[in-house]
Amino acid sequence: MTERNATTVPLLRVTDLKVHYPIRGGVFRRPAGAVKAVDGVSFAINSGETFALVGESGCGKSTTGYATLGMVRSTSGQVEFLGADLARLDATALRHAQRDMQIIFQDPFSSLDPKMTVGESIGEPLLVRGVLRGSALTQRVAEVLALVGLQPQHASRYPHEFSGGQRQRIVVARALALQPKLIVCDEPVSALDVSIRSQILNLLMRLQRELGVTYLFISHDLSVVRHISDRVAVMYLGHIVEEAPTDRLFAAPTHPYTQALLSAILLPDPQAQRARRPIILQGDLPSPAAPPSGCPFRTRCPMAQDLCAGTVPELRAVADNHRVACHFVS
Amino acid sequence: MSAHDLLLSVKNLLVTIGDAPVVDHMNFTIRAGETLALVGESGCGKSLTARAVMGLLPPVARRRAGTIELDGCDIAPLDEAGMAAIRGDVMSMIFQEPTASLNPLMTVGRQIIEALVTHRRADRGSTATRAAIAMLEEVGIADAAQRMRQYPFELSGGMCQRVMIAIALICRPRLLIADEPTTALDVTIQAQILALIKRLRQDTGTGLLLITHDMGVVADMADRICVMYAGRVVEEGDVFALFRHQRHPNTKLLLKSLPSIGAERRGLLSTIEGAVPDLRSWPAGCRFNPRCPIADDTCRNDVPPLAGIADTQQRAACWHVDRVAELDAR
Repeated sequence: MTERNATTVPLLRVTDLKVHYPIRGGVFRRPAGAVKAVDGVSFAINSGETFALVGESGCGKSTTGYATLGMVRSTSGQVEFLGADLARLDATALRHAQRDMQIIFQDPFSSLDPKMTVGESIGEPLLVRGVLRGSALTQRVAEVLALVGLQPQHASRYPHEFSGGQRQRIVVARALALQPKLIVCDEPVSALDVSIRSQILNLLMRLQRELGVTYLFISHDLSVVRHISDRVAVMYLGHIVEEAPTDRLFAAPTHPYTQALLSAILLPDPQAQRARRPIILQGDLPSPAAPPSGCPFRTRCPMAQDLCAGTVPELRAVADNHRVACHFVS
Repeated sequence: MSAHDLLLSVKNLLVTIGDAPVVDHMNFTIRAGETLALVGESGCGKSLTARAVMGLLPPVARRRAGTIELDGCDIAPLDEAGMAAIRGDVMSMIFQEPTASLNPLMTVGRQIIEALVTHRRADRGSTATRAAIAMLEEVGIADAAQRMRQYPFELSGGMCQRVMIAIALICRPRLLIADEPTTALDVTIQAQILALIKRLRQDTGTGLLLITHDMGVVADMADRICVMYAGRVVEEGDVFALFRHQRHPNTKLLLKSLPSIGAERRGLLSTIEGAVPDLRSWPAGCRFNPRCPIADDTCRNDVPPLAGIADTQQRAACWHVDRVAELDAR
């Protein structure tokens, strides 16, 4: 892992990011409201670390990752990569910055083109960016295949010839082809069996050690996040409600939502698990098209008071690197 | 009814796809009020076993042998009409994908009442409606009378799962089969659904066949476990005993590969090398031998019998039961 220094610029800084999708209604398709998928999210990731975004379906964690890469258009907010505001870069500079930012998706069955050989898939980013061609390209494809534990001869095969775990290795190899600094991992092991899951997690950790690559790790699986990440941000309905170093978050969760979320993790140990008393939240996630006033979590929060309906709690520091958005946390 | 009533007894069940024995002479029992977890990696035959019991095998699969005794009656020879009379009444099933398993063109209420009309000769009048509303309330759905008139697309995933549970339970089945009932759900909703299934199980004495790959769900819910690998049972036993000592390398490695069992953060996770073999090329001898660190020539040639382990309630199919503990040191 690269050395961290508070005075250096973070690799990625996201400030007050909002992604709202307009809802149009009526004969004239006038905007009638908005789905607030991401509603004012700020965080920074240092070079060489793994920063996890966790939360349940629909909380906006994937959209945050996509907006960071420019895959979806943000409504407002700033994304700075190595200090440069991506929105202010010209086309050439933006293309250059984007080389340093890659993504791995959840489902290795749909994220590889079935009609392209593995070598073509891995080589495509290099070809499109005009980085390499010919034998140098073949050489680089063989290199990244070796990095992810596959053989050079696999380059001439098609995705259907590989198992799920091997396909995810190919997807990782493709993301590595351009030697990126940041990889957004969107649920990279959720579609895999546990035995295969640990192979891919080991691979991601080894690549970070060897290449110094930084991960924005998006997942709903808290035991995976606990294992792999340095810092964690918990999202709920488009907001970050708590952010802390991993050990601290799991040892002392502070926001009522984080507490409920962690209490619902099932331990693979019958004795320990049956001694636990999960905090069972009532109801479902509200619609992001009609979020509650005030604190987004108040409709399911066991501690909610009148104050929570009226005022949005700010994300404020309760300790070093530990931020919480709750009125009742001192 | 005593807790020792044998509810389901499956003997010598053989299901084939082409020539491949995808469920290879399975034997298991479930007592009234008992929960048996069927676990294993994807493609090991868990779901096909359940579907064979329900008489819902996909067209490519065929049941070649075996008896399935439900309350002492062999239901294996029954024709489709005979099975339809039992399904949804004496035994019912909850599927993994709640939104895909409900009829999108029928209101939720109608789908619940359907079971009463079919099995209890209820008319669609107010008695059936009242029973359905009561059932929805029992599974924790608020505003049940209003929800009855809604279509599945109007409900969240967790709510659809509850509707499916309501449909499965309205006729008070003696046996409930749950195939990955919470895999598609978020952890806080999973906690709600598991609490609900536990409460209903306690209230009605229903036997539960739980199919899952999530060892946390097993630890939380099961009385006994049956571990499958490539169509065969490799190990079975009491849940507490089996989580303490695994007698088959597959079970041992499955549990060891989880990130949460005392693993050091960011440390290397155990893996099972390779993947579940394709069913057309299942290896000779013990089917786990190509992935097993302690396999030898015996394992490659001879099929190990599922044998009781002295002084325990566990059974395992391994030639080297006494060497499985060695895997801890690796």
